[in-house]
Amino acid sequence: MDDALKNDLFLLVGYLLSSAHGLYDEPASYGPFRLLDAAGRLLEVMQSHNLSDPFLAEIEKELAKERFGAMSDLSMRDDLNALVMRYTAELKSRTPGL
Amino acid sequence: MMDAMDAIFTRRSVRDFTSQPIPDELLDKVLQAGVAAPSGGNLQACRFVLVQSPERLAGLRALAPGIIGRPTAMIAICKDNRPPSNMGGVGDEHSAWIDVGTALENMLLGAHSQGLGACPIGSFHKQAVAEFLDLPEHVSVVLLLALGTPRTSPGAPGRRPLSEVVFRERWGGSGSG
Repeated sequence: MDDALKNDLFLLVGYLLSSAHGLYDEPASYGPFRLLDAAGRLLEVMQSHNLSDPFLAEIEKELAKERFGAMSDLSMRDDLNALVMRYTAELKSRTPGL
Repeated sequence: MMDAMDAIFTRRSVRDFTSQPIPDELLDKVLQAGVAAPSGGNLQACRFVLVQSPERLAGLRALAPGIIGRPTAMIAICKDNRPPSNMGGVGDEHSAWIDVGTALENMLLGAHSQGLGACPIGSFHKQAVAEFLDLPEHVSVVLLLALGTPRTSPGAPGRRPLSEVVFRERWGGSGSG
């Protein structure tokens, strides 16, 4: 693993830990958002180190709409459900024996 | 120069930035706008830490989950917690908090009027950020301000109508007189 990737993952660990601590005092709806944001950050790291693929790049674009929109646009639950189902279809296609 | 009312009504909380660095003169203007903000008793209890180094920004982002995108500059808006008499002012703790709010709004509007995107960040690990920024014990960080060139800008989130939040002459009073 190269040093740049190690550093990006090191920073991601910090984000996850500081998010976990912050969520004790933040609104409950921030929890799903932090996980969604974490997925987006992980995909960014994968993308910047050529570890992504076209499907994940599409997912990253979809996540960006949620991450960078106005905070009151919390129709996020339905959008997340659609993303999970899209991911599931891809998972099935990638899983041998299904 | 953007009209003040235009700036107020078109400003958005921008979280998505390009990698284009912000010219120093624009950042200086934003900081000057913060320092020029109203201050209770002219206490001027706000302190500001500007972070521009990409490595330091990445570190700050790891400690502040509220930073969603990748700003090219951050300003930590801090409060000097020493007694007002030690700072040569006459304000109090309450006015120091208000100073943070007035400074923030001045900087948000100053940034927007210069074409910059900005977003106040309240979600961060306060102790960790203070340690990362080497703040002295009598200074605490209240808010972070993310700054950059906007890549995308969110729509207006909507606000309560005046009829719901503004009363005339007395609580519950409506109409024009």
